[in-house]
Amino acid sequence: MLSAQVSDLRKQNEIYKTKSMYRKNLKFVMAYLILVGVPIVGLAAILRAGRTLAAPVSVAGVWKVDGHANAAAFDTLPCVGRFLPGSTSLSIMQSGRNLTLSFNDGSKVTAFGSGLIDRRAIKGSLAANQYPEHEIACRSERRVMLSAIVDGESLHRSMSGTMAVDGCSSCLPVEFRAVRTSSVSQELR
Amino acid sequence: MLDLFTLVMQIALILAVCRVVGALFQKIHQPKVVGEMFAGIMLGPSLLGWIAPQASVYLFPPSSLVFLDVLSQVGIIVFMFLVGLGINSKELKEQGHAAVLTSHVSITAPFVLAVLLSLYLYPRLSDDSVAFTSFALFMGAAMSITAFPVLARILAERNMLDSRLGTLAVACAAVDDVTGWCILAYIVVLTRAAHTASVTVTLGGLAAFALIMTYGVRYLLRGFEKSYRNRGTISEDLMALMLLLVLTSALCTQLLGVHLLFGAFLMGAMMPKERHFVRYLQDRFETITVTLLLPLFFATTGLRTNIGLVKGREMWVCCGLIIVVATVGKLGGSTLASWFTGMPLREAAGLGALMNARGLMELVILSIGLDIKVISPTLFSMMVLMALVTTVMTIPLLEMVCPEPVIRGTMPTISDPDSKARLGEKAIDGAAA
Repeated sequence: MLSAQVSDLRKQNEIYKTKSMYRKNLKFVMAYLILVGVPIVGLAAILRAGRTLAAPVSVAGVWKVDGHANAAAFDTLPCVGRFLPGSTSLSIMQSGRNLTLSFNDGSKVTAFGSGLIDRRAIKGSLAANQYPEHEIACRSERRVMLSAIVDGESLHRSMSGTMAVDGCSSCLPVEFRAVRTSSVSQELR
Repeated sequence: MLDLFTLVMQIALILAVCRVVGALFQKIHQPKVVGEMFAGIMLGPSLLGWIAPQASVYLFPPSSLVFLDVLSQVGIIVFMFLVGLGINSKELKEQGHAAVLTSHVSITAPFVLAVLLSLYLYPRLSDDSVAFTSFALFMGAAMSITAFPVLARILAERNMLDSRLGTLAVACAAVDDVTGWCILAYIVVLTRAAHTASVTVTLGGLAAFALIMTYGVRYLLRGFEKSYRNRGTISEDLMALMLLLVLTSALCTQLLGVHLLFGAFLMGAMMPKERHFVRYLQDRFETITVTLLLPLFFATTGLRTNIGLVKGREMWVCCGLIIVVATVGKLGGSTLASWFTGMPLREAAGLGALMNARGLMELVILSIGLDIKVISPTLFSMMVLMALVTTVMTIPLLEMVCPEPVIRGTMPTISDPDSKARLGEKAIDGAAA
């Protein structure tokens, strides 16, 4: 009698186990489809939508400033003219529209500042790290205002524009041209 | 030219700061690795360079950083081998459906949310030299990664490795990391292919290499375990051979156009997984790697992190969004999936908290992203902050949602049909007896 009951219970338990396994598998498949399958389909849609987005023009890297042509003109800029001519390079670190600008003479940073890029137009301002002490006017910090337009595609980019001294109405802006020599900013390496 | 004095001074300073800050973080119940990550940031432009720029330039002149970087990369190669070594696919199989669903959701949820967030971040923090697909996929991979070594260490420190929560967390983290690295390999190939071979050729080469490793090299590697079983140790010659294989594998993946770290990781994943053998190798390799070389990596990462670049309201909004999305995706996704598979809510939230730790693995991925220029220095700094915040919140969150009695009282739950069946069977057996 007892063994028959136990046998019955065992059978019922087997049926329950099979049913519960089936339910569990079904639940798993449903959960997998909802929690993994649907998001993956959504992912494809998001990636497709993202392709239409436009990011700012890439200007990050080291730019060789063509200073030789304008060496005399740069010298006319009070306080800041000294670090612009010669072999000075402009290093740009970019994060979207935001730019970190620095003029370098070899490994030495001569001026540092920030800027913004809007489509192909760059606007920025830089302050010299050290000003000549004998020039009294330089004790109040003067900034170089940079304004340029970027040309060209990808690595072969160039920019042309003007540099002017902030707060100096008598100083004429100096035109300059720069060519990107590397797309890696010096500060990163 | 190599300035040996500067290099040795830098190593000494980094070691000292990492040890001190790591110990301080341990005092506040945080994993040492969080302190070391923090120490790296302290030595960089975010703190030292900000409060004492002259001292920063003297201690870490830009020209000297190349050597420090090379040393740290060697450390990361060995570390990635150890990460691969710690991954055991059998653990996942033993966990069944729960682990498969939880691990896949814990990847998909943060991945999709990160790609969605990329729609907002791409025009603000990237430029036209990076394709949206590469940017978005990288953000997805970076947000879906879990700090497998940190997680394993937290579980070991709290004697949770053998609990259901612990084994499930380890299995899911292993799947997350393998998937994350596969996606990252694809992104690296995608980014580099424009300049070298085509994507198809590179991916084909990589697939062939993985097949050779799985069906050829893997069986040869059993010789190491056999030698360990016979002698209880591995000779220096064999250790050297093992290192040589790790380096060769790393070089192969680099030559295939991916990255050195993938080869090292793959070699570790292919090694035999006998528990004592794995522990023995970890003990042998970890001493130098974790004590000496990893702090150098933390320092080089810290030197590349400049929190000062995150300025202005818009930037901080982006940073906040990154942290929120990373946390909601990983913590929320893992919690939801494990709760769905029958885990009690508190335990499920504990699993989510553990999976949310990103730690060192995140830094490794971010460094690759910065190297291949998929992310900008500002975004890199934001992501480092995210890695730090999500790792710091792990233990407090775990203690809050899943205190020790809950973990100790881990029982098969009545909501699990399998458990019901098992409980029913026991009752019947009891009645029969």
